[in-house]
Amino acid sequence: MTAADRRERFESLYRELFAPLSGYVLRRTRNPEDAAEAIAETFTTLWRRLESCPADEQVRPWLFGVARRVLANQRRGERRRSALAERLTAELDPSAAVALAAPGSDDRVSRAFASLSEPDREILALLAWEGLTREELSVALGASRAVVRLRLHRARRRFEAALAPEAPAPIRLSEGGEHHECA
Amino acid sequence: MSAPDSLELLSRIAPVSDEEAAALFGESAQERLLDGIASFRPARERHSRRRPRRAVVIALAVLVVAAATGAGWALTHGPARETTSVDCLIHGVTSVIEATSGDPAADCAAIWPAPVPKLQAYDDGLGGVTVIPSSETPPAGWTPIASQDVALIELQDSLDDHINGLGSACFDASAATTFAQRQLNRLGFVDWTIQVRPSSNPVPCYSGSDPEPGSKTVTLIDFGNQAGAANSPPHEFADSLRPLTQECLSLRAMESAVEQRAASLGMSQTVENDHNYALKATEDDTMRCATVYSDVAGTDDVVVRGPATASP
Repeated sequence: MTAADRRERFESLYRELFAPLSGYVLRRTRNPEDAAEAIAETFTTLWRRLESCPADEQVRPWLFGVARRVLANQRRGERRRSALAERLTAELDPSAAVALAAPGSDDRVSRAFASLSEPDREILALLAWEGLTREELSVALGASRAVVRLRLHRARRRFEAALAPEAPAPIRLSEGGEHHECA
Repeated sequence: MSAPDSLELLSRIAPVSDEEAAALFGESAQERLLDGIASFRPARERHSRRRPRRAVVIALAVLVVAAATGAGWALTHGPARETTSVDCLIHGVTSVIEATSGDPAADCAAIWPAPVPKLQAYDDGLGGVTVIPSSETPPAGWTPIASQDVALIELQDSLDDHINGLGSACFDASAATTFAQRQLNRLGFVDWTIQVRPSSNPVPCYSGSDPEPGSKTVTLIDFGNQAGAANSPPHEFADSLRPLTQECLSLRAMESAVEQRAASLGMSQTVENDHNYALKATEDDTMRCATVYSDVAGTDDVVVRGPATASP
């Protein structure tokens, strides 16, 4: 790949993926400066690995996987205030930033979602917010399709359990009950 | 049953759209970032540099995560040993898997593509078990952990089981409670409570949520019929394995019997399709006969535990 081809491919991916990546990051961190840092570092990784990153249709989930690790590093305290991030934060739109602070509209769903573990939240969010397919989930999470299906199955069950009415009603135990096949 | 579409509910609370997020950064700023990144020399001309790891402040991390998600996340959790999943974090790739053997490092090694590095399991201080290569220094606050509670793992397996467990048919509240109580008794869980979440479904089918060692509770929830149609591959597979649960076999004999039945149904461990299954075997010489459980989550996971030699 010539330098010009390289720049052309990166520019094409950057323009296509800037909004989805910004959405991914800002749905996980409400702090615009942290988001700018994560976006800059994630696209920098794409630039450095342009030759080895997946084919075009799989770049988006792959990039989300990179961003997830960047955000995890931020949470671990590995923060870098890079000059690149400064380029993004220099023109932050204050009115748009205010909108980010608005909470989700359904408190019940928000509470149930917040009660899940981070891996459960991530796989469900990749599906519901990022709109990834099952195939793309395995790219984003770096796991086999079988493992992804298992994780998704478990995460959905736990989310639905968290959404279910609270205050379980204990019932009297009875031995010898039989189970019944559904029709 | 018509289960609530949880993903649709979740999609409605997305904190911000892609367009709103991108609009936060002005167009000229986006262009400057593009130019700034593209001014770097390409990767193969550079050497990756190792970033110094700062100490991990677990409590702070939790608070940051909680703040980032708008969560009022309770900072309570049980001991890591009393969990039934493992986070395999190997070479920057993380996969959360179901615990199988009680040895978290072995469970990760079993599913990881070769070559598998030497692994070490840690209690991550947040109630979870994470496995990383032994050559890596764990973050501060992590402590080595050798095992998870095998009885708890088996309790989870037996509740989810599609051969004889709550995944095998539609259990009403009474039948599900009786079944769960028998599993608790069999596996030595005393003083545990079984609770049933109310359901408005006229024909509820109860399954068990994750057992909670902290509160010693198994909660039964109407997840709908998990067994699937009678002629579906998972149902047929579970049916074919059911007779094995009446026999007293060694681990190897049970493995072989499972493989034979899978092959007769055209199922494979190596080809990823609708007939894919995974067989996970753990030797346990404290057992007299091998057990077999099957859980279906796209793939049939068949878990076999048992002794090298059966003692009928």
